[in-house]
Order: sequence, then structure tokens, then C-alpha cells
Amino acid sequence: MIAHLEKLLPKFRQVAQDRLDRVASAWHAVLTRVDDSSSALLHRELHTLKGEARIMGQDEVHLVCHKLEDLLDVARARGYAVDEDFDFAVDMALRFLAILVRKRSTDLGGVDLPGFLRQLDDVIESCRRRAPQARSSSETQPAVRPRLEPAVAARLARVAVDAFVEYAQATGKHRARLRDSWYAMRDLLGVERAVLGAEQLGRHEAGAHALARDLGKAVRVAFEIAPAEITTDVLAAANVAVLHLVRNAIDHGLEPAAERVAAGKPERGALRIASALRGDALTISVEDDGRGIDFDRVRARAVELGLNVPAGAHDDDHDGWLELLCHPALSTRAQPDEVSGRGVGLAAARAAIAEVGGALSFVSVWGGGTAWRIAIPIDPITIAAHTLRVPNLRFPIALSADWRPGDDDPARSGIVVDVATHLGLAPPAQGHAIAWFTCGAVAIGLHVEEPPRLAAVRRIICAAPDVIAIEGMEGLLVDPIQLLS
Amino acid sequence: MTWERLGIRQRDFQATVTDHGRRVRLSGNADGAAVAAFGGLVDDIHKAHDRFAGDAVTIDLHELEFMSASCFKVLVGWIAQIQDLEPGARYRLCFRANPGIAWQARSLRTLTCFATDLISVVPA
Repeated sequence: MIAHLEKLLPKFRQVAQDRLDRVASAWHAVLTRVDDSSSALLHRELHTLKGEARIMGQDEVHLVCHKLEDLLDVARARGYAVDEDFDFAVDMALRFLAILVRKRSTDLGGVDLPGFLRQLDDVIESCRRRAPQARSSSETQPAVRPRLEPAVAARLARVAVDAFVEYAQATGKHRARLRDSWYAMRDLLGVERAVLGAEQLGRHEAGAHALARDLGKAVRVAFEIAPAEITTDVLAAANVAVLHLVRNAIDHGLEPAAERVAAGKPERGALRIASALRGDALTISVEDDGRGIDFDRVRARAVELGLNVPAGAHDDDHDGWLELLCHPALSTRAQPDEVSGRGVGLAAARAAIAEVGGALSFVSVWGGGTAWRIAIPIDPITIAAHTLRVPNLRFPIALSADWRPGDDDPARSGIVVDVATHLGLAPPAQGHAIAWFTCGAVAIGLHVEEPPRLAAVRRIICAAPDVIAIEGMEGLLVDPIQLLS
Repeated sequence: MTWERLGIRQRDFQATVTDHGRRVRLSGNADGAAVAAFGGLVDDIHKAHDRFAGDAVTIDLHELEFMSASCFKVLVGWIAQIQDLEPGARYRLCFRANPGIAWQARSLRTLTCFATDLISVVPA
């Protein structure tokens, strides 16, 4: 190694370890909360470390950083919806890097670098095989996990909760068998977390520019994205819908430059993609400043095809018009081209949204542009809850933070519940402390082994009671009202 | 030091230490609640590293059904501590794994990459 670089090595080690610490913190942050800045920090710090390692001649560090970048790219593409194995691989890679950074000689000793890189490759490959991707109408490969009818999923979810309780409470040799059953149910039905942020929706920008270029148009794409924690199903549906809405806007909405200039508009069309979590719904809008929908032409085409047409041509019956616009036979194009004109795109967008319980709507002004709006109801995945250990239960339980811990006044009126007894798992416990909770006028006391603690819990199975993860442990989110009933 | 007293007895996780610290048997579920106790146990064993120099500490995982990532990090930290010793003072970790428990094979394969000279995995 060049002498002056050798002198810099101690400083490199220190800086590298600091960067690894920041990467580890950012990784934890992206897995536990909705945070675009942590995602950016994560990738920036690792990329910088990779570059520094290259400069310092630390080829092994450079190699592992490069592989870890691949791993994190896969995670980012999935909105950080990764399983425990993936999390474990990232964590091990960071620790592996820490060991490489600390090594004071070029001799790697017992470190098996090729073997470790192969294992990271296996994780990447496995994750890519399972990844839920935005699918265009022509790319309909099924996800590994079968999509269940909501009613079937709801019934199975209750079975899954039972499977969890039986496993978690079991001792002895049959625990392993019950664990396998629970894990199978969890794999089938478990909530897969994802984050919808600028990085997820931003992927549509390149496609928009490429399509505009192909059509001889120019477009400026703007994003206003408020990151939201959602499920992978919703993420996949949102991506499918945005993909089609963007293509639709560029192909049908935006006019060629000359036509725009003649209409007094900027030469370059504008496309705005925005998303936000409002109350219990995720809203995504795709707006263009193009020519808007030619309702007269749509109506004429519909009449030609013998379809029902809304009574007024420009009234506010957008539901009626949406029905027409999504009709598989309806396209105002005389001839379909490579981009659109087969009447498939909007229908595919609406179907994807409907599959996750959402709705598509629009507002269009002739000459002024079209705004598409997606609204998808969202159940929060991560919530604040009081976590408890109660007698005779081998797993933790939690109560929604809507319930306020009360005092320990023994004279308080209210019902005291032994959760294990309520679940039919054990006879009533004796001599344990009681923790009181109130919500409005309702009070409930629970036998506890230790005082309640407020923590963020993540839903795994939604079935009332939900199976949840509490700091890596699995437990139940119980509804006190159900305990009182 | 009374090695047997270093054992851990939690509701879902147990660790027993025998053979003057040369054999550690883990059983049950090493979840988040076991991290602190398990970390303390590893620290205590490592403090006596001069007794094990050139020798091996056996960790029997045959009855360990589950180990959380946090507990596994304790093992990685243990390896790092051994690597920090002078070469002559280092000792090896021999994991006796249960071939029927999938996570053990996967995780121990990764762990071995950290120090093939210090780690061996044998079926229990």
C-alpha cells in the first residue's frame, strides 16, 4: 500500500465504523418507521464508505459494501418490506464489514469472504423471486403468495390466531410442530409491511420521460409524496395504477408541443404525482395539464358500441363516465398502438385499486387537463400500545394506546380480567398485581406480572385479537371490550 | 468461579454451563427477553478466556428452538472478542447444531464465514 494511505488507515477505520453505525441506525429506522430521510442516509453512507474503501485499497470492504448495496436496493424496491432472514443478512453484513474494517493486516485469517458474498447473493435471489412488483397488464406473473378472497382470508386469520396461541403457549416436543403450523399460517396471511415514498413512486418518472420521448412529447414530472406505511399488496396495487395513469396521461392527455404552444400552454407538459395519508385512507393523485377528456368523443364512441351513456355530456356524473372509460371495448383511438388504445389501461388501474378495497375517480376539464385520484382505505400497521406480561401466558399482550393506564386504587369499580383464563388457557391466577385501564367511561383491570409499558407494535395477523410483533417477540393485541364481554 | 451458577433459567430460555465453562447448553426460545442474560453469560465465560486458550468452548444448540437476531448478535460479538485476543490466547467455538431446526443451519453457516479458524459446527 502507498505509504501515505497507510498513515490514513487508522482514520479510515474510525470513519468507517462511524459510517457503519449510521447505516445500522438508518436500517433500523427504515424498518420501524416511515422515513424517507433515513432511506437516503442509509444508501448515501454505504455508498460513501464503499468509495472510501476503494480509495484506501480496502478491496474486501469495498466488495462487501457493493454486495450490501445490492441487498439494500432490493429492500428499497420493496419499500423495505423484508422478512427476518433479510434483516438478519443485512445485520450480518454490517457486522462482517465491522470485522473487516477492524482488521489490521491484509491477511483475512479465517474470514470466508467468498462464502459470505455467496450467502448474500442467495438472499438477494430469494427476495427477488418473491418480490411483489408493479405489473403492467402484459406482465401478470403471479406472486408467490396466493391471493385469497377477503372472506376466506378473514376466516383463516382467526385460525391463524388460534395457531399462534397454541404454539406460543405450548411446551415440550409438540411445540416445534405447532410452530411450523403457525409459521405456515403467518407466511400465508401475515401483513407484509411496505413504505410508499418518493423512492417507490419515483420509479415512474423515468418511464414517463421515455414514453413522452417515444411519442415526440416533452414532460416535466413533479412529485409531492408524503411517505406512508402500507402493505405490500397496497404498494403493488398503487404501482400498477400509477403506471397506467401516467401512461394514459402522457399518451392521451398531454398534447404535442406545437398544439400546446398554440393553446397558450408551456411547450413541456406537466405531470404531478402526489400521495398522502389522510385519515384512514391513502390518496394518490396523478394530474396532467393536457387537453382533458373529450367527453363528446367518448360518448360518440360509446353510442357506436351500444353502451349506456350518462345523460349529460359534461355533467358531474364522473362515476358513469369512469364506467365508460374503463369499458374494455371503449377506446377513442381508431387504431390501438404500442402504447394504448386498447381500452385496457384505465380498467387495469381501477381493477388493481379495487382489489385492495380502493376506488378510482377523476376530474377533467376540456383544455385544462385531468386529475386522477386513487383512494385506498388503510389499516395502520404500526400502532402505539401498552404492552404487558400477564400470569400464565408465555407471550406478551398489548392494549391499544386509546386505553389510558389508571391508578391502582383497589376500591375502583370495574371488572378485573385474567387474560389467560379468558382465553381458556389457565385457571385464574392468584396474588398478582392489577393494572387498570380506562377508555371513556369504561374501566378494566388486568392481572399483570409487571407494569405496562408503552411501545410501538406491528400487526402480523389482523383478526381481533391481532397477532402482533413487540420488539421482535410475538404476542396478542387484545381488545378490552372483548375481554369484558 | 462457580460455573454452574452462571446458568440462566428464564420462563422460555435456559442455559447451563458445565465442564468449567467449556460446555454451554442452550434450550428453549432465546427471544428478546433473553438478550441481556445471554450477553452477560457470554461476557462471564469470555472473562475466563485464559483457561480456554487453544481449546474450544462447546455450545450445544440441540434443544434451542429459536434464537432472535438480538441474541445472535451476542454470538457475533463473542467471536469479535475472541478475534481481539492475541493469536495464542484465542479459543474456538464449537456449535453442536440440531439438523432438524432450519434456522440453525442457515445462521451458523453465516456465522462460520466470520471466522472459519475459530468456529466449527457439528451435528448434535
